[in-house]
Amino acid sequence: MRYLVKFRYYPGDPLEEIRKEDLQRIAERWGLEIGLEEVKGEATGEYEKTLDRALEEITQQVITMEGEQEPSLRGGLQEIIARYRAPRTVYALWGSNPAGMAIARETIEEMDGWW
Amino acid sequence: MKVLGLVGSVRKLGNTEILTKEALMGAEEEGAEVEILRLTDYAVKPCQGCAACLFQERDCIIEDDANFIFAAMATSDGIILGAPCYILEATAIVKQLIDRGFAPMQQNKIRGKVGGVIVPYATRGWTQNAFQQTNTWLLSLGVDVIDQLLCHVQGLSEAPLFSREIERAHTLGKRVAQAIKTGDHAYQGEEGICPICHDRNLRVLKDMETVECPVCAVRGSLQVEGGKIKVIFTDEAVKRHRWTVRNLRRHFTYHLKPSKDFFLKTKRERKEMAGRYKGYLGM
Repeated sequence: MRYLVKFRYYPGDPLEEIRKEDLQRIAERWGLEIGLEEVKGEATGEYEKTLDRALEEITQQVITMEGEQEPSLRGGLQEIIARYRAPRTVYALWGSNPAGMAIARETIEEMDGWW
Repeated sequence: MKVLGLVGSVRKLGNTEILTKEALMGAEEEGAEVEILRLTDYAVKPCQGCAACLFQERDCIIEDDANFIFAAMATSDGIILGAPCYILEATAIVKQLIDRGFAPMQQNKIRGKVGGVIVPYATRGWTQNAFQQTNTWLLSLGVDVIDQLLCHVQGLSEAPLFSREIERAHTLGKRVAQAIKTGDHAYQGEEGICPICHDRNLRVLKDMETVECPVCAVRGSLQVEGGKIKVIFTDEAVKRHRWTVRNLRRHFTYHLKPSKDFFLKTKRERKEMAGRYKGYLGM
């Protein structure tokens, strides 16, 4: 089973700066592939216009986690949630595969359901 | 200078009305023009979650009196809200107006007004969540609540029997008017735990290390010193509180508006899957 999880953090969502080197350490510890993508949306005036824009195009940081072992994925997810808190919205997992999304939602609820 | 009294009680000449009027008399003494609305005299339907106010950035489309109430608040300099607490919380009209507040929250027309809150209640120990609703409503609209008052009264119209409560309501009204005049919106009421809403409620998060004001989302930690609980909030955490213009704008921009694209992306799948619920049990 291949698990793919995407966590989309919008501006102000993570409790601390998301750094590639921290993600890399988590990836090594849990035997996962973890990537970080920065998306810069189009600013219109003071605020970004996000209505009628594709989810993938608005300003966000996307942490992508891939792995084949469920316990490893859970371990990696737990570290990421503990560090940054869970992403805030339902669509913040958009792009995950069904197996990854199911594990991610469970982990979020266990750790961060009340955050 | 105009101060608006809002009464969240059905009862005519009940304690809420009396105490709100007493506060308005105090504001009047300071030179305010005063007005009063009994919120329950107006039709305020439930929010229907259509998101028109969000997506079209307009007033609420429901044709009732909520927009009138928000407009009256927007044309006042100060707002004194009286809301009785019957069972732990403020009355339903307050909650109804919280949910209808998305449009004025985005428009910021009420932001920066001075607010005062009076909550009459009957039984000690049955008021724990009363200020959660009044604060959620007023802070979400950007009102600077400078004073709040919990008044222990019970039977109809008995508030005048208690001179301390009457005096405090009067003082609250004066303070609201003075704050409008001076521009100093610093909180003058009884200090609580949360540095933003001044309430005393805290939630313990699942990590069992963090506590949070459930209204303002300010996070902190607990320490026990000399047998006394101390709640520590960092300056950074206080600045991140839920009700800043920046945070609300961020919430609308990144947490709500993009849901339209998610809705469209999942439309076909959702429609198919929701089909089995359509008509079930006659609904």
